[in-house]
Amino acid sequence: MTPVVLQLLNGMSFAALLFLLSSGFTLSFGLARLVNMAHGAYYLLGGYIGLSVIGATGSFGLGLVAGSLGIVVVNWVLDRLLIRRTFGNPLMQVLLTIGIVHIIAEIALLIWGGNPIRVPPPDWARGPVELPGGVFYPKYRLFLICVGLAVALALWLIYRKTPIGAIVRAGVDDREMTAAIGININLLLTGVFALAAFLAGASGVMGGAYLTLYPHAEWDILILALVVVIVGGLGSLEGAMVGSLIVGLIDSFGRWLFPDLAAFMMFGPMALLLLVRPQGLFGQAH
Amino acid sequence: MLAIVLVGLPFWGNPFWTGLAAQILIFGLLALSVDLLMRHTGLFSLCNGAFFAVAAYTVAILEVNHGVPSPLAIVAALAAAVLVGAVFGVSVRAGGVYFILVTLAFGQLVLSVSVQWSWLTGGDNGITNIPYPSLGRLTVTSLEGMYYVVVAVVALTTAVYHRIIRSPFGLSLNGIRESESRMTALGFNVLRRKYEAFVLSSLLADLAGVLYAYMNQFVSPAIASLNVSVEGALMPIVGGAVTTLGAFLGAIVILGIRSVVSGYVAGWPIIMGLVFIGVVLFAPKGILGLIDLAMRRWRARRGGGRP
Amino acid sequence: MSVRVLDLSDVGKTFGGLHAVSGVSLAVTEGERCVILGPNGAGKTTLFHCITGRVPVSAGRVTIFGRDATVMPAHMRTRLGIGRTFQITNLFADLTLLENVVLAAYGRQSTWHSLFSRWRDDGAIQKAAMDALARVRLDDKAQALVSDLSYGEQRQLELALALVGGPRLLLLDEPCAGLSPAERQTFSAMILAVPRDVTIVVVEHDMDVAFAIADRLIVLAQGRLVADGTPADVRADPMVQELYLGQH
Repeated sequence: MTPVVLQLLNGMSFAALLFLLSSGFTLSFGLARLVNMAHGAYYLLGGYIGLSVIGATGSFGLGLVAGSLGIVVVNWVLDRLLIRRTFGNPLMQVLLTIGIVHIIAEIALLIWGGNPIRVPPPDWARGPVELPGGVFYPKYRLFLICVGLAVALALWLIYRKTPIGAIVRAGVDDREMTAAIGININLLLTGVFALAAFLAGASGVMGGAYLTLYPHAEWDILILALVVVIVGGLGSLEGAMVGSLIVGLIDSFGRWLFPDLAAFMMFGPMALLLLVRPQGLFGQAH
Repeated sequence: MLAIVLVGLPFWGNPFWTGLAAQILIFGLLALSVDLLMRHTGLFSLCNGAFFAVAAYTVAILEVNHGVPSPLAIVAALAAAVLVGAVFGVSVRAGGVYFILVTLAFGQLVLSVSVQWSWLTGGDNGITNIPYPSLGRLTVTSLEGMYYVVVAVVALTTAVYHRIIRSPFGLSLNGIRESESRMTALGFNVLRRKYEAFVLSSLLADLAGVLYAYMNQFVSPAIASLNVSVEGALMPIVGGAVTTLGAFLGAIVILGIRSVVSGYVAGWPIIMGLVFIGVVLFAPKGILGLIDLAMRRWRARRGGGRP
Repeated sequence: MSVRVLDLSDVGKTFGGLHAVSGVSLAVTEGERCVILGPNGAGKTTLFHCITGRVPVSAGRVTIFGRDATVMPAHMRTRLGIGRTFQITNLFADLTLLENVVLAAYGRQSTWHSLFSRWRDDGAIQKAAMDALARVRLDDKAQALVSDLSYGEQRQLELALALVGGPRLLLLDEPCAGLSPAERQTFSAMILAVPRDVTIVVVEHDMDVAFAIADRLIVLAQGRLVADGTPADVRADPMVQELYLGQH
């Protein structure tokens, strides 16, 4: 029973991380059909920035904020200069953003080196905590799960229950119409992209304390985030939630039960889903 | 003229250039496989590198680990990789952007396997000492010999590719690219045709993979990485999606950056990234497109000078 | 012995809560020229999509050439012998006119298309394609790109695509949409020139075109069939008059 609980918690903590990264990705797509491959690179860079700030100041909180805001700035610059110019052309957007990943990853390698580094977690989140039933579990991962749930709840409430959320939903549904009724679409896009970038950077700092930061992490995490949005449905917040949970659980249980077949356990269901429901669980049929 | 250059290369160049030329031809073939889907059908696949890798690894595993004779190894490699193509082909059910992302994810599956199943693939170390192919009594014995095999196979395949593009099948792919709804209304089973194109594309990528294994005599997870698929997709774009030659032109540029530039500059991935960005923003029709544009402007200036 | 080409039995289509089409029953016999009329939002295009297979019906049965086509996918219905046009021009923009009609010819011909022979060498296909272009008077522009054609010429090409290979049933969705009065006349003439053994069902908005080509008029309003008969009868129908009062 105990190992099952442990894997369940592992899966949920990974799911929390994936949700932080993929929620922004899926909303950016829903609103602007934006496919930003650099999201994985944002994760890595945000984590590294946070790492340096923590190293300089000793504060995890400051590192988290620095990493997140740093990526918001980076994204804003890249978006204005480059990404906006590929709107409407998915292949070009994918190629352009992959080019950006190459550049960011290489810069990160030159600055922070090639060895895996762990972001130091905050003091109060170190060490194990005892759960009911005598099971010990790392405090940090529980913290991660809590953060994931909190962000999920906050995003969901904003998305479903507030006027601003309604505007975003309207934009996802029909951008032209939303612009036609007077909503400043540009401002909306910039806002959602900034949020996505913020979450990506934050996920890098949080993930870096759990999974370490290393060259190629930007791809490892991006691929899983893609599976999340493919399974959940591009453009759907609920899809990102459910998808993250599915991918997180498959990842931890897969690694534990069938380590050799873990990759198949991930992509197999995805392929099956594509046969039956190509637009994902919560996605819109085109 | 091109034929003279290709055939004469080993004689006046040193092995480095012969090897590079072979790589260009091999990757040009890979680029062609992407070209079939991208330029002709409108499907942007990012997993052709995976087919390439499966074929190369199958050759490597069979030849090195099991001593299987070349003809059998080649057939098995092609069959294995086409099988993978047939399975990954479910991705054609996804439309538009979804398709790109799904193929990307599928490609990663092959990468994971190549790294994790080290009992089969040698893991991160890969498989070395792949012998040159032999057909009964005929054996390739040198780099130059293998180079000529590559030239012959790529030339033949390109000729076949040319035929396919001009066939009714090829025309139907163009129709799908232009308007799927129109094709359906005309009586075509669009989904099935896309699937067929996808599997055909995987076959071309497979051939490139087989050639790669024998030419390089070494395979490693690096060939299953996303880079291979992405660069394979970039080559026809860089070269220019005007003629079949564009794919090879693009291969020259991309491989040139990889092997030549990386020798001089550290941080060459930044250059590669800049090339991606540059091509997308400034030369989406590739080199041939730029040439075409320049020629048109030159002609206009010559002819339009008079009032 | 009249062959029933198209048979709709109590066909309905619902989108969410909206009944776009409900309880439509009609039978079209071979050689008939049928025009489906109705104001905007009457459900004409939805009914059209139900017949071509673009949308699945929510209720009722669709029978084409005696075969139950209710759940048949669109491309298979075409193979039964249907040629159709689109209301919003839907052509292969970056291909030549010849390539467009050749594809239409191949589509009707078979499911298997050769990989190794050049389509330009296929004499039979070329002839069928050029015939269709000639019927819409575009044969001199066979090598032009579709994107270089005028709007009117593109509508003509739409018709050619439908006529290639000799369909038994022609389904035309507002073929004259956006055309000038002179162009409409030419178009009507082209439609009338189609051989009599071909059944034609047209969805139309324009009364003049409708009366010019129709043996039979079917009027839809709010998704329901409200009139079905000869042009003279329908014209005299008071309900139809009220419907179209001020519309024309």
